[in-house]
Amino acid sequence: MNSERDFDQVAAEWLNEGSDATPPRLIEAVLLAVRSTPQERGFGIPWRIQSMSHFAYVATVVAVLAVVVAAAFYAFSRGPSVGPGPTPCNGPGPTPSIGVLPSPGQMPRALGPVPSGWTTYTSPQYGFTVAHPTDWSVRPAERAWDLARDVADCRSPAMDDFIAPGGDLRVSIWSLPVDGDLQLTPDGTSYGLGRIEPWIQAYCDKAGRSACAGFLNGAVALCIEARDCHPGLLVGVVAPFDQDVQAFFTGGHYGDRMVIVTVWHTADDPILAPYGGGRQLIEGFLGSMCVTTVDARRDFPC
Amino acid sequence: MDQELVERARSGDQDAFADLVRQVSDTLLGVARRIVRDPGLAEDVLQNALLTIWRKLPRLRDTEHFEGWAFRILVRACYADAPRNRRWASNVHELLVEPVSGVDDIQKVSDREELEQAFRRLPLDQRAVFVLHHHVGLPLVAVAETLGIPDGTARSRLHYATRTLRAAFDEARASDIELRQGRPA
Repeated sequence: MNSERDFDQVAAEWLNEGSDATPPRLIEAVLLAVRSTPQERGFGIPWRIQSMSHFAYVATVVAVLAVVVAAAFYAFSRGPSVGPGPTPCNGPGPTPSIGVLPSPGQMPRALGPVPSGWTTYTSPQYGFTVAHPTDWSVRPAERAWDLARDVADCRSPAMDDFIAPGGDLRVSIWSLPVDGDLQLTPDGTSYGLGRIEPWIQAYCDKAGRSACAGFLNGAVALCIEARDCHPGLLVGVVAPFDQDVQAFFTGGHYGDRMVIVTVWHTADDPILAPYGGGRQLIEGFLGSMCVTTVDARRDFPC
Repeated sequence: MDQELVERARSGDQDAFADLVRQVSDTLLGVARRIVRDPGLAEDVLQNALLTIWRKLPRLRDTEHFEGWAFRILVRACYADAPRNRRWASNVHELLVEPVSGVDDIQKVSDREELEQAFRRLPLDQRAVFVLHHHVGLPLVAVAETLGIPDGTARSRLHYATRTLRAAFDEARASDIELRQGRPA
């Protein structure tokens, strides 16, 4: 008798035996629980304004106008050090000349939940796939990010930039090898944070950021692939913190590279209010990259 | 899958969700049962997964991807619930209920028993890939996409799972041959 065929046949029979009929009591229990279980919101403000009531529509318009006025007041009240334009890292910066883009990097696609009203983008430079609000524009990285050249340049053309309508709000994503000029420490602690915190500290020091010493204040542990929980850290979610909200993560889908996602505004900057604040906005980007907080990982479908 | 049904459920229509549950629950239960190898635990997993699906449905952007998305939530529920459950690693004989007679039947039962025990020793992530590929019939690329893992990882997990099961099967067959050869005619 052919052993290979025998194995296939026995394995198939073994795998398919038994009944898969769902007991009616289970379905009844689920449907009963559903009655008292609210659904989660899609993400941030309602994107489908056409389904809103007239009152809600008017209220939303008023709220958006209030945010715009508050943002303008905030910008002009920063004093002479801010200057007439946006702060150094805010805003989209100059439009780069886009030449021939490189082929996508080796980083595999890792697509988590895409918030309602968002669309996806795959980086030609780095290969990752991420979601961003549909009405935002994307400026792809022109070249690979280099530590010496780019660490202190928040307008480096080596980042994929995601720019909100109006150009005043920008989120950037880039990555670099973890075994380059900055090295991961060999041993991990809970969720591997012990490996990446020194790395982030060193990165922060090289970047010359003013708040490096306190970057762990209010930091949030992240997981790539919730089950394996490859390490990540979200910093800057407790304001005031330097100038931005940043997430660092490595491992899993992203291999031996550190991926950095940055919202170039403080978490409580009024310009972020339409998106629920800096943390909620960056979590939208992160979730689509299969990155979630340690606390929320249990139900995370990545 | 009825896209309109998914869309209505996503909008909070509980009746539509009820219809959706009736459409997909048997398939999902079959997958859970084969991964966790315990009927009671599989029902717990399914129940948790269905509630998660309900809660998170508004976050599902493309309704045509509902089934794969549901599989992913189900597998995550398997990962979350299986190790915590006391019944874990019990009921080794639970699925073997048919009476047997004759050498061939005994051998068949013995083969399945070996496969069952070998499968229970596999990590859950290897089981998930094996079940989605061989039971649901998803191509490996689709398995990888469903589980949110690279293609190579899915291929590797399937390879190790198959190798383990194959080794257990071969070992059982070798023992059986030895037994028969040593038995007086």
